Amino acid sequence: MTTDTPFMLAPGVMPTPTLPAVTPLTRPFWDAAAQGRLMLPRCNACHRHFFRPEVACTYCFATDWQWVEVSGCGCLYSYSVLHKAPAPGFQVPLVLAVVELDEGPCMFSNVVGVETENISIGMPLQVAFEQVAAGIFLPRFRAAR
Amino acid sequence: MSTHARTATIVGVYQTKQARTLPGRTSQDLVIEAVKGAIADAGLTPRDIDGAAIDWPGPGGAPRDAENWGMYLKRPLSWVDSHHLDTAGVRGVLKAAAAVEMGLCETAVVGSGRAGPFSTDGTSPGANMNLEFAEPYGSFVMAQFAVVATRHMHEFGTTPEQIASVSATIRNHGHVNPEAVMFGAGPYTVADVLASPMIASPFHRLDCCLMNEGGCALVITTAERARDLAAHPVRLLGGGMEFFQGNYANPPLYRDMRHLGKGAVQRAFGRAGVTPQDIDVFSIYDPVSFEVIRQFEMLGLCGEGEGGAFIEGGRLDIGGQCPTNLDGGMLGGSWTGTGQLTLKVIEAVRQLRHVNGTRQVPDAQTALVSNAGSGAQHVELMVLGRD
Repeated sequence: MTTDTPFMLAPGVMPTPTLPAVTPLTRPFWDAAAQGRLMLPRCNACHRHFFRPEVACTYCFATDWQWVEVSGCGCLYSYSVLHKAPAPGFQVPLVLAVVELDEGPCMFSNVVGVETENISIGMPLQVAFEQVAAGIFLPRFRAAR
Repeated sequence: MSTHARTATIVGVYQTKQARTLPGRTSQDLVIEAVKGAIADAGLTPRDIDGAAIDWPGPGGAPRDAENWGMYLKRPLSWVDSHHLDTAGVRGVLKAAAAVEMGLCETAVVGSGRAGPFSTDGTSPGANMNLEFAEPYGSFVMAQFAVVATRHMHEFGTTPEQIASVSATIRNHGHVNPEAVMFGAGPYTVADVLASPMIASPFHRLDCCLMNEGGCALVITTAERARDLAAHPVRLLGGGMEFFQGNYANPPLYRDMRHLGKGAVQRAFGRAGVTPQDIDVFSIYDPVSFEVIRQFEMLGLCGEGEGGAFIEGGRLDIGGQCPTNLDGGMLGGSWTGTGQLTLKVIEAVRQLRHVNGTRQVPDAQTALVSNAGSGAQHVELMVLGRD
């Protein structure tokens, strides 16, 4: 017998009222995230990582690619500190980050655990998964040690 | 460029009242007013129009389908285009012009109107675009332009004051334009812009464009037909478009966006036979102040990274070297979802007709119109000339 308990955000975790619209194409990314692993598509023809997940490789158009686990290491390519909540339920200030992963692709994320005045382009980052809803873990990033 | 009998020519323009809200109006009656107005401005009748790139908000008919306009225009229509970014602005005019020059139709109307929330085909001005790898992190349109600006500031030292200077200048143009939504709301100083609440760094509230309701439309026909019409004809001298990838789903990286539009500039000016230095008046897309800086770099009027210094010293004022967005643009004039794309063209047409009163650039012969920008990862632009 199961008991449905409402999901409670852990202390200090920023809420995400706009949850990812997961599709069959992207389900493996979110399943891995729930296990604390960052997975990217890697092309079996040209061997490059790409992101977002697409049906075909965005470098060589090959449809033969696989999910591979990556380091979760990267650096901050650019960012914006949001002071107006983009949708009801977001807490501001919120750092919208463009993270350049060591494997090549760039992705949107948030920088967490860093005072906004200490955020700078180029700072090394490490992925930190945060549960934002039942079964949904977002890859956010902290300053790398 | 040499003009021939079928050279696409803009012969009619119209904009409805633009406002934060237009109580009692609907998108459909706004677009109908705009279409009727543009056709009347051209001295034509609705049954003269055989091409329609006009939004169809409904009610009635298949939503968004320009074929519905067959009821009101020349029946049967010879050419239609229905996508919400083809029924407005530079993209709409370029496609209609191509149709006219190829002989698919003789006279086309491009237009749209909006009252109520902007929502077409899953896009919206803020969040809620269902973008799986953007929205959960708080992405919205202003923030996507912001990450381009942040990187530009990092690489080149572009300052918040320079960015705010663009806002103050363009908003001051709207302050003195009775048709602008923000007419009389200024004047604005750089300090005013920097003192307004931060929205998405580096953009303050006054760096971000408005959100309004309204409609607008324009009429395009051949040079030969234009000779018989009342308004001073405005020729399409050249155009270009550039699309990096679908917008807002993946981050716009400055390293990809730094040259966005340069190919379109080369194609447009190559056909026009003039250079950006020859342009008398600029209608530059201004969803945020920073994008105006980047687009002057895109046009090659200054080097990459020099746009912040370039716009200083009154260069964008009516008496400056590059009079820009003298109607108040989208920062102080109006933004309606797609209509602002068209308003950029309308302002340029009016400047080239020499009918713009106190904001008229004396003897303007050429105009540059741009739509979209780095945050959206596409650019459309065109060069217009007074006949």
